[in-house]
Amino acid sequence: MSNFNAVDFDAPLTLVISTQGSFRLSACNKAAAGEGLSIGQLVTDARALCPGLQVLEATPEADARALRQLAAWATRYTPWVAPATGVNGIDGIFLDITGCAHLFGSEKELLTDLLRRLKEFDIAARACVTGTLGASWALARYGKGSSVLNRDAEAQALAPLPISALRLSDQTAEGLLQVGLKRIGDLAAVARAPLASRFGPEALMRLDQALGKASEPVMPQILEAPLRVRNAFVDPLVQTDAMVLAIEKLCAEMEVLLLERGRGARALKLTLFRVDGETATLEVGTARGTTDAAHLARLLAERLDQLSSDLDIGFGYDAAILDIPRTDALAASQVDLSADQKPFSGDLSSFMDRAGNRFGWARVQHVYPVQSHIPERAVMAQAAHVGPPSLDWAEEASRPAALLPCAEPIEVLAEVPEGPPKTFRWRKVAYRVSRAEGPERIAPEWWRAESASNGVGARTRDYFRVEDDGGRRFWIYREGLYGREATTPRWYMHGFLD
Amino acid sequence: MSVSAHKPPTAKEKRHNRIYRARAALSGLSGAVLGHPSQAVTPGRQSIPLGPPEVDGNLPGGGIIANALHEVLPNDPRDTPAATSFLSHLAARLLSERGASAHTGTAAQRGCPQRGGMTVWIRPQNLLREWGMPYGPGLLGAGLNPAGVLFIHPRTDQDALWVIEEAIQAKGVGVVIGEIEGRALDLTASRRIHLAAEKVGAPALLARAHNCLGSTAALTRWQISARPSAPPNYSESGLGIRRWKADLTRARGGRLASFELEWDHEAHCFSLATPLAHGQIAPLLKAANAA
Repeated sequence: MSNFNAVDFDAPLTLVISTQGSFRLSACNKAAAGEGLSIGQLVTDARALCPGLQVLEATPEADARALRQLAAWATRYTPWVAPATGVNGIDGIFLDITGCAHLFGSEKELLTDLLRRLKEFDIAARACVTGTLGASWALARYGKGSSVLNRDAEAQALAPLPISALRLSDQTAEGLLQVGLKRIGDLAAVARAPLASRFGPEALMRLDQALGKASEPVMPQILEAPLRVRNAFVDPLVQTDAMVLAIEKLCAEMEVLLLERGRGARALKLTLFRVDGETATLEVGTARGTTDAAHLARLLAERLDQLSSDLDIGFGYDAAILDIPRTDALAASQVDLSADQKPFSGDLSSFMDRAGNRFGWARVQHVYPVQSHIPERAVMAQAAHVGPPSLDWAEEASRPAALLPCAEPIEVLAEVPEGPPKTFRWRKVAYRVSRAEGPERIAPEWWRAESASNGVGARTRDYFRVEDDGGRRFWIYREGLYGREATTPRWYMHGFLD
Repeated sequence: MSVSAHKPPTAKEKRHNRIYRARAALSGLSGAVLGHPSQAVTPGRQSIPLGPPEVDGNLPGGGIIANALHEVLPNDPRDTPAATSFLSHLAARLLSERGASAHTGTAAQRGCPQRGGMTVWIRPQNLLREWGMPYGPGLLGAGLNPAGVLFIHPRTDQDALWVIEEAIQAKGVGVVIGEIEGRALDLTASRRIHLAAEKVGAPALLARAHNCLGSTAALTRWQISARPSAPPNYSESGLGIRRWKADLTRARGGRLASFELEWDHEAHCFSLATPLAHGQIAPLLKAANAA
């Protein structure tokens, strides 16, 4: 049953999760529990017990996401809020209300308020105020309902609870059950040393945490406000010039935010809201993290200019939001004391940004050396914003100054066996070779899959450096060894020598 | 080949020079610049000698003016690689000289891609298909460090013009190489580029198609064709040092001339290839070697 709207929440309903090759119940509602179903049961067994059972797939990630959001909401009670991590991931929220309860009257009143608000959200919740995280976790899940307990009442309340209330792994819980330790009280009563040696430190650690003998701090989830500035206009903007002004204002505000956080923008997203509810989005990227408002505004303005023909302004835009979806840590930059222009100065990367955003980054490239003997593989072009260019180029005297994107077949008119051609025809023009050097043999890279399957570079190449009688220089090769790899080797033009 | 020596200016040239001097005086008075060539050679401008004095003597300012536009085009479509090769050597020459004067030799070579700044090489998409991509290991041979080159491949010539102008104005750019085949680069466009270069200071080297011989704002225009190289010492049939025939067909404030040039890898500059090109000298040398 996948349609959520068709679910009857009053009838037996379960969520299932696939574990170890079988589907088991991960949650069931009150009606289902009333039918005798329990968590961990096989779906087939559950269906046998309750024929009309509704089954939905559990989505732990979405649950965790929702709980994190709820945790963010719960910061209205205390800043120290964290999603609670149980045995199977995030399954609740911890609030450290130390020093905050009096703001709501008392602990009791805070709890009541919290539960009331959650109920208004249609969220069924149980909560417990105790001295430790462990006790709260246990009592909220296995106790007699939401309550506030003092230190002495805690130990008493915990004693009758099953040991699974201690957030134990399945393996440890099972082991303890086998030796008859079913309740927390039982566990607290036995000698510690044998317990530790038999079941490891986990059981004792969890027990101590629940009883307040071991510390367990709350690690609050830190909420970082998104880098976003918003501007609503008194009158809708219909002119590009006015929009550029608005962009400049937004970028100036953003610069302050970025500098405060020590981040440099790597990507910008400007959303323009039209009066009738339509939105337009402009996105640009930068080569290096930058905070420079003028530069950011210029990038966006250029993008706006490019899109202006596609942009339907209609009755105008009345609001704009600037987001920074991606940032880099801002490296400390050295103030230039001399008047020298340094390579990689801010302006070069701002030029790169503008070219990259206008043409697409695939058209603004650095080249990088690659360890390969196959000439076309020895160089890789990569978008310039990926990183600074590599400096370890090895000089190879015999390499051409330019390489054709694909080697072009040439027609050899007068061939010398094992030597360079005397004359050849390339792009319908005949060339007479007057000088030649070679061959330089480049064998296929047999360790590559393509080489084995007759792909690129699957055959041996013999490269010749040739010069025609007019002084034009070419890098040509013969593909395939005579007799072994090919009966009639083919010739190709691959590049132009310096 | 004929190297035009320092000829005395003809009567016509003299008259022209007088007129331009008068104009220059006027422009000095009014504070406006009347674009004449010889004015381009103001003392503040950095001019970079190409190497042989025979060549530099013909150039306005005794070399390639750094903050200006220069054009290179092949004599024949088949000479395009030769022209590109000349262009990259020219760029290497400009970069090394500019770098040397800017840092007086103390700049750490490692860690900074090129002493004189970044090279921006603009090769539009259509040329990429036709003449391929400048090849990293080979560029080193041409005196350009591939780590210091930013390649840009615009889709159209209009985009190329935009990016050439922007590149010239960007800080940290040592030299801009732009290749434009089509007719998009007219007098107005070349003027814009030249003015940008003049204002900011990065030299702009433009490669154009062989038939783009129309008017231009460029300070110099070189028409390049390949020439057979002299055989290297070690082999009769091997490839010697690449040789160009460079026709200086436009030189505002200079003299038109034609040279045979080679690249001198040791001095990192151009050198004249003429003496060896004469058919008579090579056999003589051979005879001398044999003796």
